Amino acid sequence: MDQQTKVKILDPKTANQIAAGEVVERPLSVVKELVENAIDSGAGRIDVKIPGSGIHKIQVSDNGCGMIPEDMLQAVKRHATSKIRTLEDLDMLSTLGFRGEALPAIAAVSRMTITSRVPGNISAYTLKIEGGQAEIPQEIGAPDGTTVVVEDLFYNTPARKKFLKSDTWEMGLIHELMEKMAISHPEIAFSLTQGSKITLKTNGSNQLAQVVLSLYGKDLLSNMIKVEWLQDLIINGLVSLPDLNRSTRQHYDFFINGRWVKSKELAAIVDEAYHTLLPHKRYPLVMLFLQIHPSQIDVNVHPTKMEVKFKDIKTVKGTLLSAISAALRKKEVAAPRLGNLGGGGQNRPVNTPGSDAYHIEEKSARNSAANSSLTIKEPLIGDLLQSLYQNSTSPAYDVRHDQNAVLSPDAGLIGSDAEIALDEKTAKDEQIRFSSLQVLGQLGGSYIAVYNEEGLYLIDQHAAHERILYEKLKKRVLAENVKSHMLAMPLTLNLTQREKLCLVDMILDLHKLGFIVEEFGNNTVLLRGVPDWVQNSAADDLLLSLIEDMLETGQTNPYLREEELFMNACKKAVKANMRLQESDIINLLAELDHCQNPLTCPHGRPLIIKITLSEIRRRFLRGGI
Amino acid sequence: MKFNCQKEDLLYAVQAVVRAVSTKNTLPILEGIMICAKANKLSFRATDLEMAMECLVDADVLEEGTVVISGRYFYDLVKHLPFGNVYFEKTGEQLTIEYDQSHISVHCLDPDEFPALPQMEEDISGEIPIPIFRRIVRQSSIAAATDEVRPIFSGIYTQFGDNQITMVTTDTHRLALCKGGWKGKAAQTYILPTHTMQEIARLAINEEESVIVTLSKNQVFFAIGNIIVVTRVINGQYPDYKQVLPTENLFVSQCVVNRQRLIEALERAALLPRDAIRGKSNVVKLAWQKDLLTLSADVPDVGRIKEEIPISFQGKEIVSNYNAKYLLDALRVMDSENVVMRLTGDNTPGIIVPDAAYETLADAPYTYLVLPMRVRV
Repeated sequence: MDQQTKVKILDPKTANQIAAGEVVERPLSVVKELVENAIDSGAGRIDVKIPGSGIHKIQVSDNGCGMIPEDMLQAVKRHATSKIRTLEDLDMLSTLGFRGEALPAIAAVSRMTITSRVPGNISAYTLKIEGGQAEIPQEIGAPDGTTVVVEDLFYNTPARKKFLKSDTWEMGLIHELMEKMAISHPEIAFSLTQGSKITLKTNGSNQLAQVVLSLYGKDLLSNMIKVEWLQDLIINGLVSLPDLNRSTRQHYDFFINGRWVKSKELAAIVDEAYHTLLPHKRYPLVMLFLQIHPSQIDVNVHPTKMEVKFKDIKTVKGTLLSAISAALRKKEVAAPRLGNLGGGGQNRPVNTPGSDAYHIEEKSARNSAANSSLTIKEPLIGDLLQSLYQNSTSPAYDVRHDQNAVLSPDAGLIGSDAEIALDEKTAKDEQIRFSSLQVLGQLGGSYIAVYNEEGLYLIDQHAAHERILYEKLKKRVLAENVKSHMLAMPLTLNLTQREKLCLVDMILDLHKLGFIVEEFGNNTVLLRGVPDWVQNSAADDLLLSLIEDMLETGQTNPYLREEELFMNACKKAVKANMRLQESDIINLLAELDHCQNPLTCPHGRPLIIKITLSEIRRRFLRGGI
Repeated sequence: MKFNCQKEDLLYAVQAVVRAVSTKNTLPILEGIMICAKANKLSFRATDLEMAMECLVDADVLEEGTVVISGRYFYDLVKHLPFGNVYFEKTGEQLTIEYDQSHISVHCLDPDEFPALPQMEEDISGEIPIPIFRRIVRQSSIAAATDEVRPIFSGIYTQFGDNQITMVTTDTHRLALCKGGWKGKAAQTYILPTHTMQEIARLAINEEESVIVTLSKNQVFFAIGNIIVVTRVINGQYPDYKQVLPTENLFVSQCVVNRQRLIEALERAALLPRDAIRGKSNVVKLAWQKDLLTLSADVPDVGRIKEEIPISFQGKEIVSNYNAKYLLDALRVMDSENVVMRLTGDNTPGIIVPDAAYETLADAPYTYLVLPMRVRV
C-alpha cells in the first residue's frame, strides 16, 4: 500500500498569490484598497498619482495617522488589521477595510514600497516588499502620513496580467472609482494625477455640492436637489430633478456608512420613487448616503465589499421612498428648454428662485458648459471658497449672465469662474398653486394657457387630466380590500429550488396581494387562490414574474396593476382637440392642486411648462430688467 | 360549372357554413366558401382549420364543377338577393351570378388551394337527441376558459360512455359537470373546442332530431340533417375533475332556493361599483340561516344593498363571499324552477344542482362547483 499522498498543503507563496487574486483583480483594486486604507487612517488629503503613460506605478499618499516600523511589518502579513479584533467587531464595523487582506494581497503580486511617519515622530521609515517578501524598514525623511508605491503589478502572475484591458480602460475605471470616493468623502481633499495631468481634484470642504461641482460641473448640479432625512435612518445626498435623466442606472450611487456599494435592492427603491415622473426606460441620477447602524447590514458578502445585505429592507425602503419623495415634492416647475437661445450649449433649464435646488452664479459671461470637463484649474477652488462668503447675501439667481450669453454667442467655452451659492434657505414649500393661476384660454384645443406674476404656463390638458385620474384611481385601489378568488382547480407550479425558497420567504407578502399559495412536495407549489383582478388563467405567469422580481430586488413588485391604472386614466381623460369651457379649466387646475406629483403625466411626460418673464424679456432682447 | 338554385336554399346553406369561415387567418383561401356542384346537389364548405362545415342542398346542376368565393361577401350578397331562381356560371376565374334581369360578375379563388375536408372513415358511433345536446353544451360551455393560456381549459372535456355523455369544463375558478343520455357505446374521451360545440348547438334547431356522432382519432364528426361539422380535438391531459368535487360527507348545509328570485337579487347586488379600475368586481356576500338567505354588498363611499330570500335550509349557518358572475353564469343556464345549493363551510367549496329527482349526487344531470372569494379587510 505504498501510495503517494495526493493532497498537500500549498506553499505560502502560492497560497498568498491565490488569495491575492480574489482581492486584487486589476489596478483598480490596488487603488481602491489603498485609498480605503488612507481614508481609514483619518487622512484629510489623499493624492493618487499614476506617473508615465501606462499603469506601471501607482502611488497613494495620505496625511493620516501613519505607522510605526513594527506595524508596517505586521501590516503586510495576511489577516493582519488594526480595524477589528474579534468577529463580534464585524457587526459594528465602521471602517472601510477589515479583512486584513488588502496590503498582503497587493504585496504578493507586486513590488511595493511603504513610507510612513506617525505625526510627531522624528523620522519616517520606508519598507520594501517584493512578491510578498519584506525587507527591513529603513529610516528616511518623509512628511507625516503614509505613502504606498506599487510597481510592476502582476509581474509574478503573468496569467492575470494577460487579462487586463487597455491602459485607457483601466484608467477610466480608476477615475470612476476616485469620483465615487470623492463623493463619499467630501471632507477629504482628493486628487488624481494621471501622467502629468491632474484629472480630478476636490477641496475637502465637506460640501457634497462642491464635490459634485468639481467633478461634473454646474449644469448637472443645478438640476440636482438635496435629500435630507433624519428619521429612522439618516439619509442625505443629491437626486436629480426629473428633467435630468439618463438611459441607464449607471448613475445610481449609493454610499452606506461611507462605502460605495452596488445594490439592486436600493436601485429598485429609487425606480419606485421616480415612478411616473420619468418616461419609460429613463433613470435619474442619484448620490445617496445612508447611515445605517452597522449591525443592520452585512458587507462581508464579497471580498470587494461592493455588495451589501440589509437585515430589514422594508424599513430602508419606506424611509428612502419618503426621503426622495419629500425632496422631489419641494421642487418648483422648471422652465422649458427653449431651443437654441444663445450660443453653443446654452440650453439649460432655468431654475426659479426659492426652489431647493442649487443655484449657481456666474460672474463672467463666458462658458456655461465647460465645467463638466475633467480638467479643473487650480484657482477654481480658492475662488469658490472666497465666493461662498461673498455671496451669502446675494440673490440666488442672476439672470445677467444669460443675457450676456445671448449677446455674445461666440463666447468661448473654456476658463470658467463659476461660483456656487449653496442655497440653504429653508425649503419653502414652493409647489405651484394651480388654482391661483389666471386662465388665458385654450390653445389648439389641446393646451391650457395660464399665467401668474412669474410668467406664462402651458398645460397639456390630456396629461393633466390623466394625472388627476391616475392619482384618484391609485388611491382607491390602495384602499380596496384584497380579494382572492379561490380556485376550483388549483394550479401547480414547478419552481427551481431557489425560486421555491424565495416564494416560501414571501408567502405572506403574496397573501397580501391576493395569491394564496401552498407548499406541495419538493419544488412544487399549489396556487389555491388568485387576486380577483387577475385575468383568467394568467395568474401563474404573474406569480412567476413576481418571484423573479423578488429574486432580483428583494421586494414584491409594487406596480402590479399599474398598466391597468394607466390605461384606465388615459381612456377616461379629456383628449387633445377637445373644447374645454373655462369652468372645466378652473376645475382641472383645482384638482391638480390635490395631486402629489402634478408636474408629469403618469407616463413621465411633462404636464406643464413654464416660461418665466425673464425668459420672455430675454427673447425680446431686453436685458435691462 | 353551371347551376340553378333557389335563393332560400342558398341562404340556408350559406348561413350554416359561414360561421366556419375564417376571419383571421394567414391563408386567404380560408376566407372563402367552396361550392361543389355535382349530381343535382350543391355542397357548401368552409373551414378555419379548427372546425369544418359542409351543407348539402338540392339544385339544378347543368354542368358540374367547383368554385371558391369570398365567404363574407357571398353571405351578404345572398341575404340581399330577391326571392326566386339564381343562376351561377363559372368561366375561367369569373363567377357570374344571374337573377331577375340582372347579373353580377365576381372574381373567385382557386379551388385547388382549398383544404380537403377530413373523410369520415369510421362507422357512426351513436346519436344524441338534440334537446339533450343543446342542454349539455349550454350548461357546460359557461365554465370553459375564454383565453388560450391553457388550451385544455378552453375546451369541453367530453366522455362518451355507455348510454351516457359527460361534459366537464373548468376555467380553474369554477367547474361545470353535465350529464345526458345518448344512444351509443363507451368510447375514448375528447377535449372538444367550446366554440365549435356552441356552433353545432346553434345549428341543431329541430328538437325532434338527433345529432349523429362519428368519433375518429383526431376529429369528431357531428351530423345534423344535411349539415356536417368536423371538429379538431384539443390535445392534452385533462386533470382529474373528480378530485375537486367535494365528497358527500363534506357537505354541512344545503338549501333550496327559487332560481329566478336568486338571479334577480344577485344582479341587483352586483351593480354596486366596487373595483376602482373595472367599475365592479361583483363581490356579493351570501349568508345562509334558517329559512333565509341574505345577500348583501357593502362598498364604502358608494353604498350598500341587502336582500333577503326565503329558502328551505338544513344544516350549519354559513357566510361566504362570492363573485356574483360565477353564480349567475350557472343559474342562468339551468332550467329547473328551484335549485339546491350545497355547502361545505365558510370560505370552502359549494355546489349548485337542479332541484329535481335523482338518486345520488352522481346522478344529477348538472353539478356546478363554485368557490368563494376570500376578502381581507
